[in-house]
Amino acid sequence: MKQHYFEERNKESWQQIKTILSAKKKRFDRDFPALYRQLCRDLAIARERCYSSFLIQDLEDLVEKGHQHLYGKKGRNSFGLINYFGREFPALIRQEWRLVLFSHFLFYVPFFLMLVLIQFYPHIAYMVIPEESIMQMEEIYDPASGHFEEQRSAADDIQMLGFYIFNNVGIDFKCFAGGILGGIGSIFFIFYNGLIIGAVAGHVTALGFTETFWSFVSGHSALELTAAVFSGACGMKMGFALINPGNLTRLLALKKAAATGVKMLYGTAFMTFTAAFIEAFWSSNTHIPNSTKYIFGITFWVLVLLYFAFAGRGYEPEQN
Amino acid sequence: MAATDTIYEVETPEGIMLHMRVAGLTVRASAYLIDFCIRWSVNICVLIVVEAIFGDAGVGLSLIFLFLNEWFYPVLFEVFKNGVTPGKRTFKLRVVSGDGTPIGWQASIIRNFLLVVDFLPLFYGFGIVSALLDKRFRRLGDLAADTIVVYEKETSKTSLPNVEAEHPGIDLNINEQRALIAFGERHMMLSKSRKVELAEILDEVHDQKNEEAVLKVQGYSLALAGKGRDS
Repeated sequence: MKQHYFEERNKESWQQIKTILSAKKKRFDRDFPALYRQLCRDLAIARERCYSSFLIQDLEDLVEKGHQHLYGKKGRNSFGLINYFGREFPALIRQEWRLVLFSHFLFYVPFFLMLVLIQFYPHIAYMVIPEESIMQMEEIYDPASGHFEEQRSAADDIQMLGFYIFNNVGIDFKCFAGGILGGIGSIFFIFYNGLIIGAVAGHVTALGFTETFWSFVSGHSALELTAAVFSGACGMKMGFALINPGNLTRLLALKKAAATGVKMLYGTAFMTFTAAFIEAFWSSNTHIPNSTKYIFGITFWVLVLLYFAFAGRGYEPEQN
Repeated sequence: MAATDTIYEVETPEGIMLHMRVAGLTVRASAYLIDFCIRWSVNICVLIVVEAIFGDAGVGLSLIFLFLNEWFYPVLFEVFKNGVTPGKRTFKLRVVSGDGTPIGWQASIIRNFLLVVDFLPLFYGFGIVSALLDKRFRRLGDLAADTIVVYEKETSKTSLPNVEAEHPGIDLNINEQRALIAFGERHMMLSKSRKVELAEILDEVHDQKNEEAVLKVQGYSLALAGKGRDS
C-alpha cells in the first residue's frame, strides 16, 4: 500500500487520538486504549513498510504522548491522607523497626552521654558547642534574664514559627537526602544532633536552669525528636540498600528503598511541622504553668508511642 | 543505535520502541541556573513585600515561603506541568520516568530532595560525576527516583507540495523511494536554491533545470507516496 493511501485510511483515528490528547480537561476516554493500540499497530506497519521518516516520526510522537496518557496516571485513592496517617505511616515505621531502633540509638546514646557527663565534667560542653552559642543558650534559658516575666508578642511567635519550619523540616529533608551516601549522611546528622542537643540540655541543667529549659522543650520534644530520628531511618533505608542490595541490582534496590524511604519521610516531615507550631505558640507561652507543660509533654510522648505501636496494625504497606 | 548516541529507547507494553534524546550536563545546568535565578528573585520580592506589610511576623511568613520555595519549587512544577520547570522550558527539556511516563509526586520529591547531596562535596560534585558516569546522564537523585531528563520532541508539520504527480519511470529501491518522498515532504523547510541543487542531481532522469527540475522531482515524490492516482 502506498503511503498516501495508508495515511488517508487512518487519518480519522489518528485525529481522534490527537483530539483526546489535546483536550484541556484530561478525562479518561473509554475508546482510548483501543485507538492507542491501533496506533501502535499503524506505527509498526509504517516502520515495516519503510514509509517516509516524517510519517514515522509523527506517529512516534503520537505514540509517545499516548503512552504517557495511558500509563502515566496512577490510580489515586481519595482516602489517601486518612489511609496514610491512619495505617500506612505507622505500619511503615514498624516494618522498618530495625532501622528506626538503630536510629534511636544513634541519637540517644550521645544525647544521654552528654547530658550525664556534663553534670560531672562541665567543660565538655565547650568542646562540643562553640562558646558564642553557649552564651546565647545561657541568655535564653536564664530565669533571671527577665524575658520569662512577660509574654512574647504574637509577631515574634510567628517569626519563630517560620524559623522552626524552615530550619527543622529542612534538616529532616537533608538528613533523608544524606542517606544516599551509603547511609553516612544520615548517621552523621543523627549522631551530631544527639550530641549537640544532649550537650545543650546537659549544660543548662548543670547551670540549674532546669525549670525554664525542660518546661520549654517538653511540649514539642516528643514529635520533634522522634521525627528527627525517623528522618535518619528514612535516609539509612536508602543508603543501606546500596550497601546490601540483596537479590536485586544495586540500582533497583536503591530505587525501591528510596520509594519506601520517601513514604516514611512524608509523615516524619508532618510531625516536625506540627512540632514547630507547638514550639512557637505553646512552649514559649509564659502564662501556662510549668506543671501543665510537663503533663502536656508526657501525654504527647505516650500518644506518639501508642500511635506507632498500635495504629494500623495488620496493615501491610504496599511493596514498591 | 551506536554506543556513542544519546538516544535512549524504552519498550512500551505494546512492543513499540520509544526514542528519547537524553539531555546532557551543560543544558541541564543552564536550565537549573535559570530556575535558580527565578526562585531567588521571587524569594527576595516576597521577603521585601511581606516584611513591609507584616513587620516581624512577616519574617516568619517569608521564612515559611522560603522553605516551600527551596524544597517544592521544582516538585510542584514537575508534577503539575508534566515534568517541566520554567528553566527546563527554556531549553525544551522535560523530566520523565524511566519508562517514559510523566513523573508523579514520589519520584519528583526523591529526585529534587536529593539535589542537596548532588551538590556535595563542592558545587554539584557528586551530581556531575554521577551524570558523567551514567549512560543517561542521571545524577544521584535521578538514579534513586528512576527519572531521566529528555529533550522535548520538536514536531515538524509536513505536507506534500501541490504539484502534478508523475512516476519517475525507473525502478527505485526502498531507500531511494524514501529519499524522494522526504524531498517532497521537506519542500517547506528547504531553501529554493538547495531544492534546485538537490533536484538537479537527478537530471539524467528528468532532463530539466532549475525550477522545472524541482517540480519534476516533487512530482515523483507524490507518485511514490501514492498521491497521484486519486487526484
